[in-house]
Amino acid sequence: MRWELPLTALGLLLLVVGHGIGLFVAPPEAMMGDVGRILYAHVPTAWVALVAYLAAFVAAVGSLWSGRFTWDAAVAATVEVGVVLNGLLLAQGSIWARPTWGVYWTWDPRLTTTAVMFVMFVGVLLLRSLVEVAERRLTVTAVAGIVAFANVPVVYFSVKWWRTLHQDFSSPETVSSPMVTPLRIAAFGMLFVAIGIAVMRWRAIYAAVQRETESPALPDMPAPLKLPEVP
Amino acid sequence: MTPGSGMITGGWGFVWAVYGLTWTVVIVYLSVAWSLSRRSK
Repeated sequence: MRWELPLTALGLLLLVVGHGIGLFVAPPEAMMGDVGRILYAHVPTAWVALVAYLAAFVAAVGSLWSGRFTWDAAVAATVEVGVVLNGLLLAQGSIWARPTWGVYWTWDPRLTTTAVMFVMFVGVLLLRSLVEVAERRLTVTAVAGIVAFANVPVVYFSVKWWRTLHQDFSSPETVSSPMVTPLRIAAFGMLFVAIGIAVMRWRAIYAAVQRETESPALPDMPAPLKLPEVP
Repeated sequence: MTPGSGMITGGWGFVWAVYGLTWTVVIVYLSVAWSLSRRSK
């Protein structure tokens, strides 16, 4: 059995437990009340999206360094997982913003940099889909991934660098102790599920690239001229 | 908001919307990734 399947199953189990404790056992947040329970879904999504982008950066460096398609597939898989989680993160945040800030969206530094991060990594995938030659696609994907990653530390530190509506880093220092356990369980759950999905996507993308490089499509050739048959 | 306490009350609809969306995305993406991975064997 492929190892990512039990890891993904464990991740789903942890996610159920973490979300269950967050929804039904943990106390309501002091200011936000029950709406604060969104924390246990939103924060793990944010953490794991950033981890996926970090993995994409490492894979992009490995891809450029080695020129091997196994790294190229890893870049594509981790960027894809990051983009899905990033999109989910923005949607979760917008829903949470409505009851707490009174609006679904505001051009706050954390929100804006996160939206820019999403657009940049979607751009990486779009760019990748436009290049047909596998070797060139490897280089383009890796360079675009490294450029896009430049925004990730900006997103992370945006709550420190600028005055923002968004809360500070969520950590055991900034979150009350009854909230830490479900947050940690849900974070590990989301991490394991994301690793499982990334490995599945890596296998599929790598297999497709291998098929492509083993039997590259021939350029269009003109049809051979035929001489009329001599009676 | 509860008068005087400063705490927002209610809002479970937003909570369920977030958890419903999260689980939908996780399950759909996982199913698609698993299906494509199996096909690539």
